[in-house]
Amino acid sequence: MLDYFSIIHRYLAPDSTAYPLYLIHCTLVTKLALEIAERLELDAAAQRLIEEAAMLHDIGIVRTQMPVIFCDGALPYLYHLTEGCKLLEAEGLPKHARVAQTHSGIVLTAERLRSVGLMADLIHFIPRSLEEKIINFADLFYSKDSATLWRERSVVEARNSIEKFAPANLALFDEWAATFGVN
Amino acid sequence: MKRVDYFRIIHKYIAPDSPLYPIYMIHCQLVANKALKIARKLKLSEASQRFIEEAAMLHDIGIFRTDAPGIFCYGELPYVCHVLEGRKILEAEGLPDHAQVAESHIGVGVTQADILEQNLPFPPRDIFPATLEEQIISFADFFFSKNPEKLWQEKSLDKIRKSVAKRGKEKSAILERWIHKFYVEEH
Repeated sequence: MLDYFSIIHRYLAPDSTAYPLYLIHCTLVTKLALEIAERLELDAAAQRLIEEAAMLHDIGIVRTQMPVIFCDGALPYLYHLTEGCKLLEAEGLPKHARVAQTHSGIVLTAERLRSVGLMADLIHFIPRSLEEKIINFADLFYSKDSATLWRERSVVEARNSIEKFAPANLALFDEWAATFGVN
Repeated sequence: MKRVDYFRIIHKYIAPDSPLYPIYMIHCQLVANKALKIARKLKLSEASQRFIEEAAMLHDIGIFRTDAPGIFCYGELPYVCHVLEGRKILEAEGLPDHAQVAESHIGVGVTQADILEQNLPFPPRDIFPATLEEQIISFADFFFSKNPEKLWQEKSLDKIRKSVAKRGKEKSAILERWIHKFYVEEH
């Protein structure tokens, strides 16, 4: 059983201002992802991976610049995907690293990656495994903004974010929503 | 109302690198989340929602003073005393309303007669969630356990009804009133 709290604490100090936002956000995403996993009757190993990877999915934010959530790193926010991946690979957790890299896949476009200088192909950011898809989906329902941290978005609101950032993926979103029993 | 930095208070009593910490944090966040869903459904004020968030995050703070090795608590007191200890801690922190939530999150409550009959380690007076906020948090707490194996699992209403039924008809009647007022259907 992975002690994901000790990994989080290594990169994000419990007494930092970003920590409460990180922990609450990741816990809410994990809860929703686990509800979906239970509904799909995933086995214990898959549920455990979902719990661990969802709690760690945003760890790359520590290396990015995002003052509203108190992140004072150097990189553009979107780099939290690649940085989270690197960091979890270095921790010897390749599956968790894939989740970090792909947890925004459905709202990404090649143009958006280019706009911040991320040159890797979009395909590397697209969730493939069921666990990756569930966590990407669950993450669409929560924000890290302190004013709306605890509020779960409706399916319509989550869908609107796809429409805004990656309208080509609307059909995929609808497919996930149906498969995951969220409507 | 001044915002309470509840992470600071939690970290003062439960070290972030202790084995109790993950259990405490996950449990309290799940209870807070459930309680806040109810508060939004009832359209409670912003101040009331903020209070529910803070008090739900602090409601179990007394557990570290109890003897519950299964959840890494190595104090002296019987587990059930965590409600009174939580009250003392939060009163000492200058948070009397939050302290009241900690003391009263004892299911639907216990009466003076319950305390005497069951020989509970409490002062002989009625202890029960009286305000709407206290009731919402106590209701939300029914759904989650601190058992490390079941931390994330949400209990069904059926299971909650059965466990409360063991404590008598009066308790079940209160629970049914709460379900009627507070239950939120999830997707």
